[in-house]
Amino acid sequence: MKKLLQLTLGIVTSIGGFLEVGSIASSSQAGASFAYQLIWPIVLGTIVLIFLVEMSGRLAAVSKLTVSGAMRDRFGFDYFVVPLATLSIVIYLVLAAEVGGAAFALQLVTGISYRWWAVPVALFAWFLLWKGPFALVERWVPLFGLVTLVFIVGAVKLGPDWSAVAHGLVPTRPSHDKAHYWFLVVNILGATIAPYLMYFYSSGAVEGKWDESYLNINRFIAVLGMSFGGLLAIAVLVSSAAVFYPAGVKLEGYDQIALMLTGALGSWGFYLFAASLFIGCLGAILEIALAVAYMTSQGLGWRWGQDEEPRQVPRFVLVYTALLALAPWLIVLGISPLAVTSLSMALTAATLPVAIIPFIVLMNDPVYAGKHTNGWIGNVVVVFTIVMACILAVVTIPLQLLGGG
Amino acid sequence: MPGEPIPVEHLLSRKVLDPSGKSAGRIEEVRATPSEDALLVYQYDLGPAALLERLAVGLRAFSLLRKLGVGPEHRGRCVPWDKMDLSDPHQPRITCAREELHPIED
Amino acid sequence: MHIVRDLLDKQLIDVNWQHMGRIDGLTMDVPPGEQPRITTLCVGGTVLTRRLPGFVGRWASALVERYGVRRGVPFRIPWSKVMRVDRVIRVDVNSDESGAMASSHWVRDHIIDRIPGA
Repeated sequence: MKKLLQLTLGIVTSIGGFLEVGSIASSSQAGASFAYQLIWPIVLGTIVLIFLVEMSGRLAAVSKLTVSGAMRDRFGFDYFVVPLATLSIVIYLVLAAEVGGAAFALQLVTGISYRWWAVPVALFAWFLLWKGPFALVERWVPLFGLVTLVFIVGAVKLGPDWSAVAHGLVPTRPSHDKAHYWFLVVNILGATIAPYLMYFYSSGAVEGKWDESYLNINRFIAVLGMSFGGLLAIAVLVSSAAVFYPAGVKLEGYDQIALMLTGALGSWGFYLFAASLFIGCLGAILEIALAVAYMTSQGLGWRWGQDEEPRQVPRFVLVYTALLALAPWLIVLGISPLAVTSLSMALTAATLPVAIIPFIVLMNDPVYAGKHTNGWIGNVVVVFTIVMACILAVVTIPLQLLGGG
Repeated sequence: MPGEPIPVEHLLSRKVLDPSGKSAGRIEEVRATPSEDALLVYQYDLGPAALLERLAVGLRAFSLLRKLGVGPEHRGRCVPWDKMDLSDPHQPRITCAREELHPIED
Repeated sequence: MHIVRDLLDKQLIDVNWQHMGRIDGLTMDVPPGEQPRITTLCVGGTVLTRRLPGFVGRWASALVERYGVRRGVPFRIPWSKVMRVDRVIRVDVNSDESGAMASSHWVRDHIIDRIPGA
């Protein structure tokens, strides 16, 4: 039973990964511009994440090491410093985008400008980490996160053309505006396959003291958790497609996106959208702040743990505190949240290879994966992901310039 | 300066030259026997490109490449402690010709 | 024993099973004509920053020497204190009392304790 409750770890990872501002933005834009044609990158991203998350959990359960701990262990500091440095910079931008998203959700509800909400949001997130145990993030975020099911309700109520939806599951040629199409593909993949999810999930597994008896539940959690998120992202796309595509609306701000559920659910739709955006972004903020603190502490050998008293793990706490202190300022300065979001997703896509390449080595090394090294399917998926990540890394900046919204 | 303690981590990836100035490879590993109060170094393992090696699944990946006719020409070789001259830690040298070194046995 | 595979960069735990950093470096004595001996494990200080390449390494080391709690001096553990070499390396040291956790304690005393509700 206790193991089944760990499903919440999967769900919260998924929410922070799928229902955060990047996914909502890119899925909405995809629906508005290309109707149902871009469901396939969401599916692709979900499948890749299922495998990567399962591997992170398996690594933690067998070696009792987290992904970053194992990276420093196996490859040394000389290599580790590269993902540490690049991820920290990219993740700061993602964090700023999430703060922007949560602040915007509050603007939708209160009418007060999002720029005033950025600092309170960061402060609130910090307070949750400062006072709350890991269970706060692990259990309560998914609980509140269930509000995001409204996207599925909305999508169904809008009565979309389901056969067109089904067609969208497979890649098709873009009917128009190729650069924008591929720009959105890159954004969706960059928003979905975020390395911080692996650091967060494996650390959660170690905080939960997983061992080899958790391997089956880990598979179950990875599949169910990520599928939940993927389904929600698809629902966002479908709703957006049903509402915005026929009208030829080009989405340029979150205030437009917020209207996507009002057709189906009236003014309730508007408030539920805001609530979903808020909880999705808050979940992401907590996950990202923790992921960086985990990565730094584990890589440098410091004491760490969200379940520990802050006095016992001072440098771990310092990392998330400093990160959250710096996070709101891009938004406060008035930089467009959508622009920050777009850039952060592009850079995530660009730096994916650095985070994923070590994975294929670790998961095939019996020193770290024990008797549970990757099967051939797992390896094929990781190699495919690495190749895809390298391609993304090369095309993402040009596409940002050519096809950017 | 000879005689001063050397940080072992600085030896990693350093290119090692033989007396004629040819490269014998880069230091990838140091093997030692533990005793009561110190580890006694008995061998240095040299390889083509240390970082790449650490990244790959070991020398086997390179030996496979060599069998196929591609791959780096320096194979993994070992240097016994008495053939390694560390009087200049920034430029380690071996005291024998690189052809005299034995391949690494695991 | 393989130094790089088994010791370098591995997690250290102290006599109370607490994390106390990673083995950032090891010191080797090379007495002329004798077998080289690795005598000390080094943690923290500028040991890591010196492993960074070029000016990044020099600049980072200078920062640590200027502002670090121990002014860049690493914490040294003699090999004789090593109790067990496994996935983690256990050493016969009390990290809180020995000065190994100097920067951690500094952060605790000067930052964490100053936050209301600590």
